[in-house]
Amino acid sequence: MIAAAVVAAVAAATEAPVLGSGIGYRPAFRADLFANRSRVDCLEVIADHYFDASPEKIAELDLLRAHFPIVAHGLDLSIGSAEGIDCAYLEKFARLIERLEPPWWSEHLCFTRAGGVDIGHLAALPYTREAIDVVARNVETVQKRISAPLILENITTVVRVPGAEMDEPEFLSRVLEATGCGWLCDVANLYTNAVNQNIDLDATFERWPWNRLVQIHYAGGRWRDGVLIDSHDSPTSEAVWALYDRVIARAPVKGVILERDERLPRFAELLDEVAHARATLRECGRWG
Amino acid sequence: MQNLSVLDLPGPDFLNLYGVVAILVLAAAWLLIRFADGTDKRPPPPVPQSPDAMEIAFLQGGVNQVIRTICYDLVQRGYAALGKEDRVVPTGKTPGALPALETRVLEMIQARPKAHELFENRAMRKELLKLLEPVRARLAAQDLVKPESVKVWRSRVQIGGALVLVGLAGAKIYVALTTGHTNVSYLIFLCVASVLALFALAYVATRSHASRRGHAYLQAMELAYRPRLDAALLDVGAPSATKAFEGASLFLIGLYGFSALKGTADAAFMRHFKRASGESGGSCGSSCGGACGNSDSGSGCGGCGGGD
Repeated sequence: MIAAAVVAAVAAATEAPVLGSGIGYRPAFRADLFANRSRVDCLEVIADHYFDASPEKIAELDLLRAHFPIVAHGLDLSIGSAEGIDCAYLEKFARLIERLEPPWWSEHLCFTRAGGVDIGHLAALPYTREAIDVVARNVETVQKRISAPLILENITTVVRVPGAEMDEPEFLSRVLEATGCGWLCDVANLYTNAVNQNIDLDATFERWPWNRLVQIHYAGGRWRDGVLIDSHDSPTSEAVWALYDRVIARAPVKGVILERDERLPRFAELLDEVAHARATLRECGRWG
Repeated sequence: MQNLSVLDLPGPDFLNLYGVVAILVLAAAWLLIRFADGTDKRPPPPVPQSPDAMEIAFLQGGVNQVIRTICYDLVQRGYAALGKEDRVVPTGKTPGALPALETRVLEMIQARPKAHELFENRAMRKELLKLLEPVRARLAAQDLVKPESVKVWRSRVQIGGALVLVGLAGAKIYVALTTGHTNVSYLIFLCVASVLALFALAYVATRSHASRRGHAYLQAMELAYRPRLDAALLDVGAPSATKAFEGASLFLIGLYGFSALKGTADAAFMRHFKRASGESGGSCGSSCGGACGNSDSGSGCGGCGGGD
């Protein structure tokens, strides 16, 4: 029964339409976005921003939906919490997904709540079989309420949780295998972890679950006290672009999204990055 | 007629009944006018990437909003200025190759008119309407302007409703007078008030230039471009080679109206034209004059001046 659900989930994610090159929506650039609508293929909205939203925010969401293909991205589902899924949060998420009807939606492979306390941070899971079981159980709960395909995003972490039974590529592959979820590959996170943890990406590249790739995030980071932070506040670095190009060449992808949260530049600069990402998609025959 | 039991009701009971009939007539009138505009069965067109200032102004408030928008543009570009006593005056700057609409309004401004005179000049309105015909046709092709069926139903509703209200009151008055009752003044008052309410409702329900689909389109644009308006308002009055609402941003004036300028260096436009609109009742009838006074957002006076 569970195996059938997993197979169905995999099929739903892989059969989703290709959305192209888009951007993570931020209200600050709403007018510029509409003035350059033809240069943005799709949008990603932060789901949490529309829970219990004002009528104006809902109108904004409906307006975006009327003009762009949209996918939703969650922040606080805490898919790795051993205590299970917060039903109230899940219900809000489900209502939003029903409103948006996205081809897929995404969450971080992490936990943000433990012992009933919201820790306000994307915390890394231990790379253990037990954690995989927890995530699988939680995903099953989620999929009972939300039928749209869920994809999971790899996060950054500055510390490795002790007691790991495997490395991140294996952990992620096993999670996706157990849940049937697709992969939201954040190439900036891949790069950031590799840099901060001295991981040789070339050596591990083929071990990532490319057959489950659905969406990509890319963004610029910042060095702070000798640590590379995934801060989403600067242009995408050449190193991340190089990794992005390699990933696009390696595996088919349904959509790529630029994330920029802080120190927003002129919108034209964001459009240049979106165009750059689209050009690679085209060169590799993934789009257009 | 005296055999009609309704007409035989005692005065107070009949007045109660008449009040109910008046409310039903008003409700029916509103519904008929509302459903005469079925353009909202389709979703609005996509928000344009490069909105046309004249198109947006015309849809938002007809010729009056076009005149407001052009006046603002002529002032910000130095061809005209706001003078004393609500006058719009020329600056003497030689116009280059201005579009026909701007040229015509600038010609009007040469006579140093008061702002309301710009709206009242019927000859100019006619000329502007002729120049705006391609714009109107484009909007009409997308079902964005109020359909003719609304005007037809407005007339039907006004005539039919008035006949019911006057007919019922008249019949009762006739019966009352023939039976020796002369205390019909309150019924006459109620009848006149109901008919006036009917005409006012018909006017309010149809005064907007945009169809229901057009309204949805404008609302979508207002929501989409609000951040650009906010940014432009910060630039009003700032020393810069480019004016806040110049070129591609001019449509914001047509879309949001002068009321958006409140609190900026250009707030004078709001006061100038608000007073002017308030005084323009002479040409449009008192109800329109009052509506214009509140219509800097553009929704009110589009119909003012007759079917523009």
